[in-house]
Amino acid sequence: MATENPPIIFTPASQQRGLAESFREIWDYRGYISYLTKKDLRTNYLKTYLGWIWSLAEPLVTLAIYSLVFGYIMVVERGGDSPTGLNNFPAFLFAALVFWSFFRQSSTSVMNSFSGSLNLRKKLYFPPAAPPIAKVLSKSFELLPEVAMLMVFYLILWGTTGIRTVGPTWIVLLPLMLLTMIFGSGVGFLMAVPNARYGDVGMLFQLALRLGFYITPIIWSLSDFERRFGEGGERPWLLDVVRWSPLTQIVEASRDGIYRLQWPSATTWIYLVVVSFGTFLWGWTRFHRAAGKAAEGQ
Amino acid sequence: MSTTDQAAEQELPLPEDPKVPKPKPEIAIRVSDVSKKFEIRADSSTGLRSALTGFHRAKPKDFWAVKGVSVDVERGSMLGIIGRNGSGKSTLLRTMCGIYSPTEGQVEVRGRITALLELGAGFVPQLTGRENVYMNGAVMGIPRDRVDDIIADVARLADIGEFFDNPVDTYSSGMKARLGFAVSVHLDPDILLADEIISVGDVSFSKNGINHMTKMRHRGVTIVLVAHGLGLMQRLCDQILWLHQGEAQMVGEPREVIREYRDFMTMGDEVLVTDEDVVDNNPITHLDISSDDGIAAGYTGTPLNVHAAYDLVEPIEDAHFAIRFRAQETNVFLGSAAVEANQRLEGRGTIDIRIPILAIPPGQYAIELEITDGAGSDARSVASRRSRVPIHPLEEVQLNDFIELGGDWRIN
Repeated sequence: MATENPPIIFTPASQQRGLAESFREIWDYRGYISYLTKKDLRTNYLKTYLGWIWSLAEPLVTLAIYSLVFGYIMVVERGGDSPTGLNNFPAFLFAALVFWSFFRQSSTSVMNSFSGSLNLRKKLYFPPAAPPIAKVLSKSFELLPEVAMLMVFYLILWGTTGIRTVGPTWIVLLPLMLLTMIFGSGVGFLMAVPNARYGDVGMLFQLALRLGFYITPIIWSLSDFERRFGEGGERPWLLDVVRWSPLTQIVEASRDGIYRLQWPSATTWIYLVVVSFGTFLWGWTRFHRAAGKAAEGQ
Repeated sequence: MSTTDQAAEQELPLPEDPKVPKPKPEIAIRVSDVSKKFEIRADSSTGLRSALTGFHRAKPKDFWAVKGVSVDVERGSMLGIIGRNGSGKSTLLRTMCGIYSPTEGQVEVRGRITALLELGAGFVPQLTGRENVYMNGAVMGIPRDRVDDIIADVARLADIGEFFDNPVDTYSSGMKARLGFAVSVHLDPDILLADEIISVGDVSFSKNGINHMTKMRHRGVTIVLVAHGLGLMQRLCDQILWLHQGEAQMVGEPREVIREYRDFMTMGDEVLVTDEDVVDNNPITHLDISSDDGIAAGYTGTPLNVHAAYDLVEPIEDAHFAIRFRAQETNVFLGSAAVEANQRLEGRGTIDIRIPILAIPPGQYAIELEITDGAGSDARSVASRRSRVPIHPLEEVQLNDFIELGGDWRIN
């Protein structure tokens, strides 16, 4: 009987959740979150003829454009080819682009799905973090075909060039995907409440993402950058900014594992784990301090 | 579990022993001195600018939607909340289910709550009715296999046929409401909070809904209901809370609270209108109406009593009376009851007129009583007085567009 349960008490502080409490509540609502995730997966391409194949279209087109512009028209120096002997710009680009998508999708979807859920939240109680989490999960599932495409691409390269392009270091994909998702969600949670209050925040973030794309070594290589801005270079501080950006670390780690077939350094791993979880916890606690009030439209 | 059950077993067979105090009724919802404040920002688009520059042009205004409300709801009882639009009913309901947290005070709830603030609120249009039932179960924390058990009952109560397996965006609003209601009653809540849900949908849906609420209450479900149908509320509820501008104006026995509330509402109408009454020194000194239960308003389809008082300087030899109802919106005379009196009238006295069935639609009316000397073409108007009166729909039925005219049937 319900009477066994202790009473639920709503107080002025009851929209604020402690850390443990907030995670427990998410666990209690896991059923709801899984339905929301399914719904997103089902409905995203519902009225399209090609369905989920569209999720491949965007990365393919991006890859094609950048390869054309930076690989053949402007010719980017890759600053040392892969130790395996592979020298292929699309492959070099793709290994980084996948993780950039992961970051962009998880941060924006967390940020936007919170404000998108507020209307429903006035009629139905659910933990404010539930819709963002469901969105991040569905976005991650949608990115899996892209990862599969990455593998197919590299296997084709192996076949055509005869250089071994796939190895055991590819396993870094999994922890890196997880860390990127955690980091991206943390950033999204940091901005979710401000974005719900002021739409300007979302606009600013779109601009920041654009900047982030170009100051992260995605279409250019870090080693090339190091040569020009490194020891005795023009602006050494700029090198530090770029090198220690979490996104650079993620992208370089993924290039190590996928393009260069070597293991990322221990420093990189420690740095990424600390920064990802740190950012997530920071965003999560800030979010839970303000989300309740924001959900009430204040 | 054992302690509670044992206690219940021991308490039940107790004989009426004056020394042993009766077991205290269990409180399912305890609202203790709850207030809810909203900050109203004049213009949200300048929000970021002023937040960044620290230049606050428009300070947010405090709005107390609920002020110091306390009420206890016993397990298995039904609380009705009444009040005008904007009196804080919905805010209080949202505070009871945790959507809003109180600014002051606290709400203590025992048992699983289902809040029906809008029928079918959580429905995903792209999913089928069936899938939405499972999803609703998930948000209420009900395991899938439990939903498996009740899904047939939900489909039966919703009564939407094969649409149950179609996406919800193919539904009419009535169908959505039916499904929403069916889900909520079958997902077996301990406490049901319902906001204006009975008034959506057609009559059979309303009746069905009321039946189900009554059944749930008999099963021990605690219900808090916000509705506009006062007759319905009086019939269903054990307790009525009347909110006025966020404050509890009165809480208690339904009949009493509703009577006070109706009086209050009618009084408010009269205060609004002062200029409708004709000049001073009017020979008709007073004019008002009442329904049979003593409320100063009329109800369509029920008897209406008109009360008037006169104070004549000169006697009227051949007094005739006429009553007219003029609709305020359309300015059309909708009802006119001429009463033949044929009598001499002098000095002071009262007039009581009873209209057996008030067959005019609900709305705001000006009622006019006219006294003439003589009848027909040589009638001379002696006095008339007007007063604004509300005519309400008969709330048991809640049909605005139906007037019972009555009549004797003879079938040969």
